[in-house]
Parts: sequence; C-alpha cells; structure tokens
Amino acid sequence: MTKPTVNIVAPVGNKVDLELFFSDLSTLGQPFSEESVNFVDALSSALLTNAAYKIYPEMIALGFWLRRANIQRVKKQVLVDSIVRLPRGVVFHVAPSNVDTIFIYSLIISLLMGNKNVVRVSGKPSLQKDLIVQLINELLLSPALAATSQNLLIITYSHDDNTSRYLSERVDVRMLWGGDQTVGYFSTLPVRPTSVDVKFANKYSIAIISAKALNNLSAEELNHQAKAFVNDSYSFGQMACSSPRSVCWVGDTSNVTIAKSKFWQAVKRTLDGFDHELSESNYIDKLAYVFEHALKYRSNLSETSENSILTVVNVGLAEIVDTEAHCGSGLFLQAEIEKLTDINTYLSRKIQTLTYLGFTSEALNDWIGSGVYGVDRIVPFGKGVDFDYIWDGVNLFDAVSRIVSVK
Amino acid sequence: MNNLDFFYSQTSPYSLSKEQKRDAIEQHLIRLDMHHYENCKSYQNMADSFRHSNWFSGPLLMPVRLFKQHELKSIPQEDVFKVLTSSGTTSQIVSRIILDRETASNQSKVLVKIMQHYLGLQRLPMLIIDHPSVVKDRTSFSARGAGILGLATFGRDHTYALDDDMTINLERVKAFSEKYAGQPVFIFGFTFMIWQYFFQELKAKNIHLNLAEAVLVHSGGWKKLIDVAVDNTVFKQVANDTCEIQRVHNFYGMVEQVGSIFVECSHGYLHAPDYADIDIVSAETMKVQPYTEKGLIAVSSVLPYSYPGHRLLTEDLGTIYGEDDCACGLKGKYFHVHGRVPKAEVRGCSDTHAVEQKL
Repeated sequence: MTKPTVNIVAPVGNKVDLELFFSDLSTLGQPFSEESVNFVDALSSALLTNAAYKIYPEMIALGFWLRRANIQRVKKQVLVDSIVRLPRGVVFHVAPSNVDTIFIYSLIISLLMGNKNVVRVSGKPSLQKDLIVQLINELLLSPALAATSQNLLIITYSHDDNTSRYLSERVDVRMLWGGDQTVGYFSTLPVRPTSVDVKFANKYSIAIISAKALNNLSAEELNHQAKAFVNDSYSFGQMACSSPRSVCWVGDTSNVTIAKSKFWQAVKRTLDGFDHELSESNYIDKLAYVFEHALKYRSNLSETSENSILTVVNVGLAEIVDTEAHCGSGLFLQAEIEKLTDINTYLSRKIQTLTYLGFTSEALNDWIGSGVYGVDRIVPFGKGVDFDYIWDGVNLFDAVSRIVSVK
Repeated sequence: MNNLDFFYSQTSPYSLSKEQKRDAIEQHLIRLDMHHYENCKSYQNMADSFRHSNWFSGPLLMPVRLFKQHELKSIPQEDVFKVLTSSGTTSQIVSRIILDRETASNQSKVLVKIMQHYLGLQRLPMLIIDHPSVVKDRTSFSARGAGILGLATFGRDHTYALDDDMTINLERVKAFSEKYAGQPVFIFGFTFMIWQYFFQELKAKNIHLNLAEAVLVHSGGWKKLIDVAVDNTVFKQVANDTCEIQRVHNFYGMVEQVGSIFVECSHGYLHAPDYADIDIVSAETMKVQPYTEKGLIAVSSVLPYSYPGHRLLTEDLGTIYGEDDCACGLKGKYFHVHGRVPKAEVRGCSDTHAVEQKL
C-alpha cells in the first residue's frame, strides 16, 4: 500500500514519519501522568483567560471541564486501587465536521490515559477549530510537554479510502464521531483483530416535563427552567445529538393544557433576548418541514408558533421521534402521555438524552428499569449539552484503556 | 373550471390598477384556495395544520420545494394531461408539476399575452443562444430545453448560435445578423449561457454584431454571474457593446408557476402581470413586508388549477419598490430579485451533510 499523504496541522514544525509514529510504542504514557495533567491544565487556563475564546460558549464549557479540579475529580473516579489500567496504544479519533470542540474531549481523555493519538479534523474552515489547534501548537512548544507532543498528531486529509484504510489498519482504537454515515463508512475498512471501535451513531433527544410539577413552579423558577431549556435546545442550532427536539408532556389533560401554555410563553420570553444564530435558510427548512409533516401525518402547528424562531408541532405519540427528517433550528414535536411508561415503546437505541423537568430521581430510576430499550442519559433541564466522559452509554476512559488483571 | 375571462379581456397584461387587481386576483385566489382544499388531500392536511397558528398573517404560502418532495394534484388521475419536471441548478431532485389540459392551455395563453407585449404580434426571426440538441430529445426534457421550446413559438427561422460543444458558431450567427440587418429579431437564451458563451466569446474574438433592432429575452439564475461581479447593468452594457442590443428583458419565473412570468420593463424592473402577484415576506416572522424591504419572494398566480401552486413561498430574495407607479408606465408591482437565500452553516454532531464538503 502506498503511504498516504496527510496534512499535519499539529504539532507544527516537526517532521513526522507516519510509519514510525504508529510503530514506536515506547512513548506511551502512564494514566494521568503529571505531564498530561499539566497539558490539560494549561489548555484550560488559556481557554478561560484569553478573551479570544469568550465569545464561544462551547469553548468556555470546554475550558471548565478541563480545569485541574475537575480532572482530579475524574481521575478519582477512573483510577481505582482495585484495578490496573494501561493505555490501549494508538487511538484514531475521527472528529465530526460540525461540532468543533468534541474532538478535544475525545483527545484529552485518550491523552490522559497515556495513548498515542491521531485526530482527523475536518478540512472545512472553522474559526473555533483553527483557534484551538493554534493554541495546542503554542502549548506544545514548551519543552516540558515533549512527550505529549510526541503522542499527538492532528491531521486533515482529503476523504480518500487509501488514507482511511492505512490509518484504520494501524491503530488500536477508532473513536468514530460524526454519526451514522461516518460510522458506516469506517466500518467497511479492515482493522486489526485486537482493535476496538467506539461508534457514535446519529442520536435523538427528548425533553420530558411533568405538567403538574411545572404548574407548581413560581414565576421565577419557571423562567429559570425556560432558560435552561432554551440553552439545551438552541445551542448548536438544535442540531447537537443531545439537543431536545421533541417535548413529551406527562400528566392529565387539564394539567398539560395549562402547563404547555405557561411553558411556551416563558420560552418565548427567553428567546426574545437569546442569540440563537438561526438564519433565513433555517426558517425555510423549518417551514417546509411543518408542511411536509402535516401532509404525511396530519399533524397540527401549535398556536404557540407565531414566528419562525419557535415552532411547535402537535403530533401523535407514534410520531414523537423523527430521527430522519427533523431539521432542528427551534422545531419541537410535542405529544402528551399520562405516565412515563406510556413512551417506553418509542425509546429506541437512537434516543440519547432525556432532559427532564419535575421528576424525582427515584421516579426516574424506577421508570428506567421498567423496560426502556434506549436512552443514554437522563439529565435535568440545563444540562443537555454538558459533556460527560460517559457518552452514549460508553465510558470513554474505558474505551481507550485496558484493564490488566494481576493476581 | 378555472375561468380567466376577466383577465383575458383586459387590453394588456399590465392593465389592472391596484384597486381593480386586489379585487380580481384576491377573489380568484380564494376560489383556488377552496378548490385545492377540496380536491387535494395533501393540501387540505397542510392547510389544516396552520389553522390555529399565527405564523402567517395572511393566506397560506406553500414552500416551493414541496413540489420536489411530493406529487401534488387537485384533479382526478384521468384528467392528467402532462407532467412538467424541472431540476434546480443546485439539487438533482426534480419538481413534478401535474397539468390538466385546461391549466396547460392557460399557461400557454398567458405566456403569449405577456410575450406579445414585448415582441409584438408578428413572429420574429429567432436567434437562440444555445445548442440545438438541447431540445432534440423530447422524452427527457431538461428545464433548459422546455424553456427554449416554450419561447420558440414566438419566433420563426430558429437559429442556434452554439454548437453541441457550446462553442459559438460564428458563421451561423453572422449569417443571421446579416440576413436580418435592420429588422426586428428575437434573441433568447439563459442568462449565464448568453454571458459566457456568447458575449464573452464575441469580446474575446473582437467581433462586433449589429443587432440594434433585436429584443433580447433571457432568464435563469444570476448566481454564477454575481460570482464574477456581473449584474444586470453590466449585462446590458455588454449586450450593447458587443451587439448594439438596446432592448433587453430579463424574466423571473419558475416551473411551479409556468405562464405568469415576471418580465423586466424598459426601466429595469421586473413587473407583476395582471395574472400574478408578488409579496415580500420576512423569513423570521413570515409576515408580509412593506415596499423597499428585502425579504423572501412570495408569488401568486391565477393559473395553477390542476395542482396547488397558486400561492408559493420561494427561496429567493427580492425587494418590491412600488405598485402601478413605475416610470415605464406599466401597472403592477415592480421589483428586483437578489438571488437565493444563502445556505446556513451546518451544525450538529452528525456529518450527514458533510459529503459534499470534501475535506
């Protein structure tokens, strides 16, 4: 096989022999080595102090997650005395082209575990991606981070089979972000018998609201919850896998009717001052979606929908999940159920996050054990887009490490 | 039955004052609303969906792309006479427009009324800025081929300016201009083709044609021309410089509303004929905008009877400058088209849309 040509965007300046990068495993580190933790901390400080990143909420969120205190907390959860953890080897991260920070989480977790990493980022221009790659390059100039620099390669290459195949055959883990299409493509390429794939499929998320609990909220609490909901759903134009795209109302009809009206009014007030970044083309997509949905399913546009920013469609429970056509941009399919178990049948493995309002953790724990096939996370309103190292039901630290039993 | 006698009986397709037009066209469109609601189940479902919302302030405007996704018809299957198809420039998905005999005949009739206003009643010698094979294969018509055939009925001695490889055939073009020197002729083509394969070629070869009596009619998107900084003014200037053409009429139309096209007047504005109307809608509110505001173009037409295409929301941006008071003297709203709504940046965790980006 011919050696592929890749464009190395980080670390800059070093001549890298790809063959050697994959074969030389002497640079693998120890989990949570001092140097790796220092690197993460330096990245965090830069993200949180440099004004250039302040305008990007996801960069700030990333900076917070990488804080030394948080990494120490995570370390305690991951490294427990009873087991011995070692890096898996070389990890190939295929970053999604549309969310610019996710590859950093993926990379950092793997670096902290001591792996060597090659990250394929999209070659399409993105200011956020360029900023962060530039930042990493600056940090890697420090002689104190020489080992990190040796274990990290951020590349772009034109989507050619040859390069994807070359990389796939040489790594121990492939972290396949980017949804069904990317996962499907890489699944066709041969890998080592000992390698592991972590696949992140297209996912769909739903908000569940207890009507009774919502009706009991004070005006202030209601506004707070509406803000949390707007943050969950309108960041990333409602296109992140964890953004709620449907709202399921739980309770009796009279409670639900009142709750819907109160809630959507509060959401509208929040949206009045919210920088949602939606554009004309998003509005047209949404309008066309509403027409098409009505044509196919006889759904009704809710009376709540007064402009193109908030669009709420009343659908039957059977149509509550639309993984195929949902266009995001502030579109919510809503349906009513009497009790949580009524929705069980519709929660397939495609369902990722349930953001909830008004349920106790006991109630949720009881319910989730009642025969729910899908659902990866259940989080309160406002935590929808928070990153967690347990993602789509996979502990990412587990995915990039191996446990050695010594008896 | 879609009775258009009132409109046909006017002296020109630009006769109705705004008061007369408001009455006539609105009543007619309301009748079409009811006809489509009663006869097209899909349209009924869509109209019902909007019944309780306030997203639109006025009547329902159907997004034009629905015709790419669904076959919408308001007539029984046995009345289907032909199906118009057209592919957009950016997408391979085809619009399918279902016609009965009456709708098809009204389309031709209205197109004749409008074109005769600019070309006169006589058929003029016609120079087509395209190659002849674009209309040869009648079983698989491109939108281009259909457009040329539609307009070809207004000309005679059809002469194609280009060869099959899109190079200009100077011999034919020169023979045409010499044969009809000093006489009115009709030139038709698609905006970009005329610019790229005709004007640019004449300029490069330093050839000057005398087509001073010609009426040049052209249509199709400006997107490729805007990319090379050519607007309507530049286009007309070059038409004059290379061929001495004085009269140039761009027109705005779509396969979803064939017939009632919007033609550019002598003062450079596109005009709504009596058979059609235009509004500018804000994408953010879906409310109709006042004149001079830029927004989405909504078009209505009294022709679509066999399919629910009488009130459509396009994905083009435009500005209306006024009604009935254009310096050209024609009645109707007059406006400019600014091109397509720009595509939004794709966001989200999935790369579904990334295929075309190619790293």
